[in-house]
Amino acid sequence: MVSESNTKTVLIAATLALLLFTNTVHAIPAAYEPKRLTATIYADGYVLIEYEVEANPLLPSINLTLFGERFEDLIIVSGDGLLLDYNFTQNGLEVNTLGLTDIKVSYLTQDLTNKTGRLWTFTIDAPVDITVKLPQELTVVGLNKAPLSISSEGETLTIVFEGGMLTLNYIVALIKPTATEQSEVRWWGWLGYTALVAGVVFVGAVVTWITLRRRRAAKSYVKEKRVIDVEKILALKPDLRPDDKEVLRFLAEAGGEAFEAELRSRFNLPKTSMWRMVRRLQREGLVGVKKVGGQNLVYIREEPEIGGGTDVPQNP
Amino acid sequence: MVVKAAAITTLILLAALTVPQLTLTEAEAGGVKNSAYALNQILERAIKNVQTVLNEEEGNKAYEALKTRLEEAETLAERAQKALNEGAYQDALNISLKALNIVKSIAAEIKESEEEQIVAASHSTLRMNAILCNLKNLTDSAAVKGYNVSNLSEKLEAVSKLVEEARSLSAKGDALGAGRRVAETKIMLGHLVSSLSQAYAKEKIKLAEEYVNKILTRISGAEDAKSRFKEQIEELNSSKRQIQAGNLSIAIKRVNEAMKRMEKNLNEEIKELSDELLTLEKRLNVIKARGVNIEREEKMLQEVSKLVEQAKAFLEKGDYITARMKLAEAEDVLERLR
Repeated sequence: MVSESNTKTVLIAATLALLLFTNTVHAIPAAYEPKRLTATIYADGYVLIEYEVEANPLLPSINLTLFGERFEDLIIVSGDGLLLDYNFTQNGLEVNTLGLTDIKVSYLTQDLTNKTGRLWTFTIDAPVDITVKLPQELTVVGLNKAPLSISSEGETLTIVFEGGMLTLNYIVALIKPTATEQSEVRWWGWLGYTALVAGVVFVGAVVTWITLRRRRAAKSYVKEKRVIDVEKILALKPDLRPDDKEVLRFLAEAGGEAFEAELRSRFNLPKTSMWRMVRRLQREGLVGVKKVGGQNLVYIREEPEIGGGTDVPQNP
Repeated sequence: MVVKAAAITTLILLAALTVPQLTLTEAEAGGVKNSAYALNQILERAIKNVQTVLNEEEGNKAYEALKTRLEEAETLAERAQKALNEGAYQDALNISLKALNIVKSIAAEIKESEEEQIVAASHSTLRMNAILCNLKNLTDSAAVKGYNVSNLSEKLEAVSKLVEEARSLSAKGDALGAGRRVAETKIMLGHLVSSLSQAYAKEKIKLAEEYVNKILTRISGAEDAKSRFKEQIEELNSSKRQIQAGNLSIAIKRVNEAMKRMEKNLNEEIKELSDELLTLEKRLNVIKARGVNIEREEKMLQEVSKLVEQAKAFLEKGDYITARMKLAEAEDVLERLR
């Protein structure tokens, strides 16, 4: 049986031991807490860092650890846009926060990227979740961890990763649009110029007219109704994937043709996956694709054609 | 009866353990699902774009081999897609990462191209534009607050024109000309930042003064801190005079020094107190071994330890005044104990 007095002695000894252990460590006030981190990567190796921290309001200045070693166009502001003074010290960057809490830092650095051949690598040790923004000419081709989410803002791809070490590989390439897309781009460019002259209302009217026309064209299209012995076709291609067979059966049931959008909705597949599936069937020479009212119409080829595909599919 | 009680206790324990675990698993599953879909999109885009780059070099034998390897990645991407459709998100993630690794190895073998330089030139204007937009917003915000930033607006306009020129030159393929404009833009942006910082000089002086006053008020409100931090009070008053004279950087330097000295003093006191506590504990143990009742002293020792720990916690928060007050309390108790 342990006496109360002994318990107290043990308790005091433990507290004192803790004190003895901790008093060897110099107590340093926590200067700030990282809140948000965004990195926008550019094709010339520069990265725009936007870093938000919550500074300790009891301190007149904080020593901030930034990412990289050389900083260009460094701007430090408070939450309400007040430009703050800073200076570089042996410990890093000392920012005069003057009791303010919300601090936003932005700068450009080349220290976070390196290039070998065509392959770029962006590396960062993020203290919080990091949002990486990539202009459209940058294509991610390697990651050391899975992203938390992905979204698009205009022509910029935004990927969010959990904090910690992040290594992201990318290549820079001008992805030229396909012939159809190119003509569309030219057409929209001309329209945009006209819109500047004629005004936003005109643009709206034209866009509405085109959309309606395309929809009408697609809607008014009367699909061919053929009787197709799909099992006979499938017998010729026994190695087809089960998914591909299902698509062929669906097309046959629909009279031999269906819009790609209908296939996507029927099989609940994303655009690119369905495009790939259709391309596979085209390679096998089983289906063809034609444009109707701006949409891809997929059709089962006439029997004599089956055996070798030549059609070049449109990118989704 | 005992068995029944044990069974009920086990059930309660199991329920307590299982419920949070289930919630956690659901949350994790949601996270994995989002990750899997996000990664799948990245993979699809990577395959498509790398394929386009490879297709641009028709007849390149080395690229033909790369195309074959890309087909492996495509097959994996299809498997990942299938796993996604079946709800096997972790599998989809693993397969996608594997496929992306293949794409990365292919990308590493693609040779450099001139178009990279073209894109790089256009991006140099893009990043300058981002900095310019940030500065425009800051200038607008200063104008809303009533600061005179009319001269900045003109400069901003000039920088905008430079960025536009750089953009137009890079679009024409004149990377050198665009580079020169970007370099000029950088210099002008630097001037703009200095001017904007200057516009805020008065507000910063006001803020610094408020900060020093706040610290001085807090110190004067705590008798013990007032007597212990005499030198620091002097330094803070001196920095206040510098602030009023407009020498903000010197003033802030002095405030920093004063605060650093406070921190150092407090750390030293904490160490001294902790050392003394250990010595006292040893002495009390010797007395106790002789059979003397030291329950009251033990309680006091425990109280001092607690106060020192609290002081340390306040010091770590940067609250030097409260830390000093806790140490003063600890010293009082210790004095009685001595």
